[in-house]
Amino acid sequence: MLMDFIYDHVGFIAIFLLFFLMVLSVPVFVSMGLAAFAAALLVEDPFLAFRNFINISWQGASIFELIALPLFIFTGTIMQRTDAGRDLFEVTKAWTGSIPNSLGVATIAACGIFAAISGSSVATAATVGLVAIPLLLEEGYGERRAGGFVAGGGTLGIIIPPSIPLILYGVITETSIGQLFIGGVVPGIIMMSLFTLYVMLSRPRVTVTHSISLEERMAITRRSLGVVLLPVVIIVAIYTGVFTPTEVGALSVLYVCALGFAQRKLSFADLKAAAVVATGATTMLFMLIVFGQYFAHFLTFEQVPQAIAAAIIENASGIWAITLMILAYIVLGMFLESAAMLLISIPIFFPVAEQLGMDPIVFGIFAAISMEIAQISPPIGVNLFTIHGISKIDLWKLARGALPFLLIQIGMLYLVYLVPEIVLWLPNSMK
Amino acid sequence: MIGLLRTIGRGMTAVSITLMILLCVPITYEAIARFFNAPTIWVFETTLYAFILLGFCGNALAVQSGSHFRVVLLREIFPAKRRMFDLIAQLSTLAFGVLIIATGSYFVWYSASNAILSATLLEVPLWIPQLAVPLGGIGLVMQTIVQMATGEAPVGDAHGIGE
Repeated sequence: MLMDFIYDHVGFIAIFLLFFLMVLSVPVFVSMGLAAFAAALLVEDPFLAFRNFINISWQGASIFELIALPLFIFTGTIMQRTDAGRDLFEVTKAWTGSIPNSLGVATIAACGIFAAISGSSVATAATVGLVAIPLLLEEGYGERRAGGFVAGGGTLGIIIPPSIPLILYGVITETSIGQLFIGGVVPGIIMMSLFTLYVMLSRPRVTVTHSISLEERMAITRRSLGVVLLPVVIIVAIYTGVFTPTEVGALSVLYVCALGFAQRKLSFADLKAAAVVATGATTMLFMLIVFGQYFAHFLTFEQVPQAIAAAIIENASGIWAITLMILAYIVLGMFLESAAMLLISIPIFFPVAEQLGMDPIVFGIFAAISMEIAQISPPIGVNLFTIHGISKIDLWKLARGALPFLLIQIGMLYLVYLVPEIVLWLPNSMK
Repeated sequence: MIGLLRTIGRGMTAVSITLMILLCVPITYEAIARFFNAPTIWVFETTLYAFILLGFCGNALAVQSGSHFRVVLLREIFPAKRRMFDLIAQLSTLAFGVLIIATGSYFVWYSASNAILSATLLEVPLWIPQLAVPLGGIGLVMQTIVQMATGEAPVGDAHGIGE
């Protein structure tokens, strides 16, 4: 009787064990591996469970597309060391000087451009935030708005290509990473425009303007041209198919190194420090992916995603099923950081999205926007902690400041579902 | 003993950081070679194995720098019980590290004794790249033991950059 129950529900037992271990603050990759292995021992021959553990984990590690991850992470950490945030902010400040709340708009624009180089939401928020927050406070935006602009703007790193979560999604669902990157361009631009519009309309309006002559603007832009042009080069290289995303990542590392050394903004000590941070972050993601794949494989073998998909589709359809997913992502985002959330949720929600008729690229962008929400959702939104770390602004003040961005992102989730053409138009033109 | 564990951990960290810095070189070489219609047969495999080694060997650094993500909500709510939560996390990590070492060693032994080669032109004996798995487990176990023995808190804050 008990064994029958265990056999019938072993997938859900694995999920329960996963959350139980995570709540006890066990590292997420350990929780995933132990939960699935322990559940497998309940229903499989121990030696078979032992062999499956290593075979499936090795398959999860041996995916060439994953190499893009350390390369883009390393690009981002090198950029942090070369003062690129300051350069970008100077350029965007120069070109937004005469519009309402100009410094806020410059912050969003700098976040958008840095996002298109680093692929990391946290690197974007940290790099731009270090430069922008003191100036925003000086001009009277207040702590709530100053921190909120950077935390919200930083999330653009997830959707504007290159994007680390989109690489993860592509690997898990075997979707073309190049097409996912290109699919993120239009939603990224729309989202950046909506963020800018909100910043321009936000009250109280700051009237300080930074009007400078066209010659000065051109001079500032020329000085930072190497950094400003890099996102364009990355997107064009991927779009035209000249290079694969992994190759673009490698070329980006070499490019930012060459630029940093040429401008004397990067030393070998900086390079080593950037590599240390990138190695820690890469290992964290690598272990999550390897054992997340093992966990996902176990759930799929036990038909759990299919059962959940069927239950959702039976009880809700279309927009209601999407609303359920959004709510689930908001709740998960309160407790999990984005990579872990992605690795836990995608194996479960991907079949739901398929049954709802969503294209894998559209769902990839949908999932990426959901990751953005997780980045700025209290209590553990990583962007909020990053901004708090560099500015000491109160976390709840930051969360309130980021709330309008979170609402825009929820709106974008519905938009992506209802008008998938905004995602698919560019990738389809690649074929 | 702890000193030896630290030294081995530092060695693993040095390997993973070196690989991080050098990873872009062969991939760029391949992109250029392909552009001139002269693709190689070695870049794909060697970079993949280098990446796997980086990912597993980086565990010594990741444990030391606190990069591995944990849900610390309950730990924050009950500060008096922090030591208990940390101990649970460390013991679980140790158990998992032992599992990785055991399964990884079996994997290496199986590939070596059956002379399994990669299904590519390079035909690499697979036990060589697979050594990364038990090594990663060793890094995980050793650094966790160092933390448990010394009570050191993780240093640095690499966590979050990959998001």
